Amino acid sequence: MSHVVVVGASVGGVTCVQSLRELGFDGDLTLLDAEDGPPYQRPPLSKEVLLGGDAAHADLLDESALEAIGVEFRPGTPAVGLDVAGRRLRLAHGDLRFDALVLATGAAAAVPAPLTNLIERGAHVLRTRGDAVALAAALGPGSGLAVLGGGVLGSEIVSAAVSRGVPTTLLARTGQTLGPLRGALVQRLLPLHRSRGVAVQTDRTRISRGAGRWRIDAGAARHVADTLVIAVGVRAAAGWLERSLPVGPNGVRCDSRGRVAPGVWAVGDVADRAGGRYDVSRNTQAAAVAQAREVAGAIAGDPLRVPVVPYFWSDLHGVRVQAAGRIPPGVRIQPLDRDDAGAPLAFAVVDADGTVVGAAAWGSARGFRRARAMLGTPLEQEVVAR
Amino acid sequence: MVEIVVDSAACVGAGQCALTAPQVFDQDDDGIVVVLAGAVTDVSAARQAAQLCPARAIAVTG
Repeated sequence: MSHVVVVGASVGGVTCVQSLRELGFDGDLTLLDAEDGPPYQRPPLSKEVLLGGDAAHADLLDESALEAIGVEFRPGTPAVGLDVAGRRLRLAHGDLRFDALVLATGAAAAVPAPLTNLIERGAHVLRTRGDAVALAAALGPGSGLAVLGGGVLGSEIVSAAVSRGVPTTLLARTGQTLGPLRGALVQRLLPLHRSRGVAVQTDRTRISRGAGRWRIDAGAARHVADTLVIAVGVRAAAGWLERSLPVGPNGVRCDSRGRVAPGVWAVGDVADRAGGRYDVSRNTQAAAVAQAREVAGAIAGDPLRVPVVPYFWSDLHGVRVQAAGRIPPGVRIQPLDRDDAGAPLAFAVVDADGTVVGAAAWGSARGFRRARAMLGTPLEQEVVAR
Repeated sequence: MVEIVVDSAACVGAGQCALTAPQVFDQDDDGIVVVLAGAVTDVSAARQAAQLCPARAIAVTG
């Protein structure tokens, strides 16, 4: 095993090369990325950078830090194809041979067909560092923002905008989910936004643009905004692999340990892991990190010692939302702790056998730890009685 | 000798560290990381905990 190539230098790819060196791999290591500039991570893009901070807040590490551990870093080098049997990665100019390949190309902002015209007329998305810098520049106290999509990214953008004093409208669905959270687990979301002065619109809307402003028409209500952001989800960046590997709507299909084919692995948002569909950590940075460490361990012959409990978190308007475990279909949501108004703060997610398979909490570290401690055990009747 | 440094301000209370290396890490009532006293016997578990921290708040040196 002399040459490992990692495609994609966000947190999955960087963690992979760092873990390989930490685990004693001393062969050649190449890290590629399609974008120019140093490797960066995404969570700060919807937080510190959007709040007007330096884009460098998102940097993962300096290029010299990669050089110091003997990693050949090649930014501005997109991969365009793959010859699996021949172990060759196709680049724009030439091929790169590998003994092991780790796919960490992540995902791109999804823009469904009916919304592409909005992009053409100046609507933003938020996925890359360039997107974040452009959006941060467009926001300001006098200027209004509308966000289409109330999921994790949309809600975090709304939260950052409100803290900057930007009048904000959120266009959400009545059945709005927040990452893995749905139903009773997400009851607190839209009321939380409203309590912070966000105009939340769940009726169907028509969006048009005129005189340099966005007009959002919901029949009974009308909203106007200077800036529109589309945050309706992501699409795995696996199009370039469709002719070489099994690729589905959620990315490159791999086994529960990230293996795609002999010598080929996938980590992070581009990976569609068998059995991982309902992990609360799906498409989070925490998952990319854990998977990268796991794959590095498999390549270096030093496997993960302890299984990782899936974890999800998001900070919205200063409230920390956390979840652990899995939330598959057909589960029952059992409230545990409640706030002073009697609304549930912490929840156990219980499967048909009565086993707690997931945990979630809003703004309650204690409630979260209590719920998480129940994972894997039968739900006790004394809990239900409270 | 192995040294553990944590950034409490960056910690988000995930508790992955406490699940991965319970001899080394615990959480306080707010869920923030606490490094337990005593020499680290299981270094590789401590390193795995640092690698898995969703907030990158743990550094294991030495």
